[in-house]
Amino acid sequence: MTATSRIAVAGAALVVAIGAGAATYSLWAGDSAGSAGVITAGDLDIALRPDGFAWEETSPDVGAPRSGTAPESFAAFVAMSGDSFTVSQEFTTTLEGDNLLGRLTVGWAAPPDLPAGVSATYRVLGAGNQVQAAARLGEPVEVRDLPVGTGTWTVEVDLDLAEDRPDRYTTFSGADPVELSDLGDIVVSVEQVRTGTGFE
Amino acid sequence: MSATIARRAPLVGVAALAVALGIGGGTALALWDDDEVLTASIGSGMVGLAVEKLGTHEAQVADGPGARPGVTLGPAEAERLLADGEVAVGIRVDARADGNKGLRYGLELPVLDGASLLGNSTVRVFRVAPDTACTPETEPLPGTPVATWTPADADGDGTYVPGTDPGWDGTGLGSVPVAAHYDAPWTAVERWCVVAELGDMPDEGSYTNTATVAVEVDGATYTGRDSWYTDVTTAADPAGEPAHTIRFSHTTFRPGE
Repeated sequence: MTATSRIAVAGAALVVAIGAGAATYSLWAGDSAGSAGVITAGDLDIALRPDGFAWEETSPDVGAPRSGTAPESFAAFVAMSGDSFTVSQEFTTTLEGDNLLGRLTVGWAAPPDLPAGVSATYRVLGAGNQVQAAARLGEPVEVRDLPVGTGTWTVEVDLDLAEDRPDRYTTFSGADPVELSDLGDIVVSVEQVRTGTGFE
Repeated sequence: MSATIARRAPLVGVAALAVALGIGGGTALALWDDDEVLTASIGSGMVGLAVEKLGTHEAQVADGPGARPGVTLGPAEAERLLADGEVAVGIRVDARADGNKGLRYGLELPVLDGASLLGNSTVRVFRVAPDTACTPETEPLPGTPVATWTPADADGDGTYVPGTDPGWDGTGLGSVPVAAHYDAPWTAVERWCVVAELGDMPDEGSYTNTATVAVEVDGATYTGRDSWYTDVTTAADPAGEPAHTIRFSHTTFRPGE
């Protein structure tokens, strides 16, 4: 084989090797398994606790307040002006790895939809049920500098139907409109950051 | 051939890994993140009050806290009153208050026109069980108050002789059909009766006329006398009976109110 043809064959082989992408990588990994060392992957996770939802009536004039542990039971309660509630959801964050710092944010994928006379605030509770952040429902908050490890958190919403909010009147027709107080799609996120404590 | 490939391939493999690790300039690996979504909502309840004169199938429905739906008595009741001397009308009340709300209502009784047939009747208003028919013989629900309109002349003897001023007594009629308790029923149906018994109308009475004739003949006087009598019944026209409306006001309340 001439030198020219030898180079041409080698060039073709190289193009094939680059174009193969993953195939090339797997070949290399097989050849270099002992020589490149071991890289340990980290972990970053947030998860709602399956048994972590709770709600309760906080109306001051109700002698036997109701409560529940499922969104369905909360949705089934019929609220009137003067009623108030606390709704909470526990979740955990997991951060594993070197040089890993996290930031917890609470935001909305769909905003709350509260009728006139209905108001809500919320707070984020961390270790020891300490308030880490608080705001009006719909306003995002963040908690910075989450260290490596597992954390347990709670988003707690206070919902209030003002006592002087006008009653809704039925027409006795069976076709009255429905009114909902919707907390929105609350998104709790944990993300890796590379600024802050421990980073330049 | 195969020896050439073996020498080139490791260079390509290292570059891929370098890219994957974000080493060197150029391509950067995205930072990790994870999220979860939480949703929750709750519905609002309602309150309501509707009143209906039984037999009409036309309910008057309150559309707000200041609304005072009513039941009207008028020419139809006056016609029966004049023909039979008595009439009974039933009123149905539908009430609703959801959740931790209760509802109470009160009756506002009208001042009855002194020239009207109902105004010259003894009229009683009282509550009965929801399935009780209202007749002139119907009695009130035990333990509940009765409001009575006494006319100027209630005795119905056919001669109008005014006694006391007409008016109502025991006008504080009402009910609390729905309690402010989440576990109590949120709806209720109640019934009221209005029973009227016709008294004497102002234009009723009797007429007596006595005629005396005296004739003198040859110095002697001869006298003749005769008299005639008739009852005067009322000229009241039921079609002209004014409207008498019993109105229902209401309030809602929370536990402990």
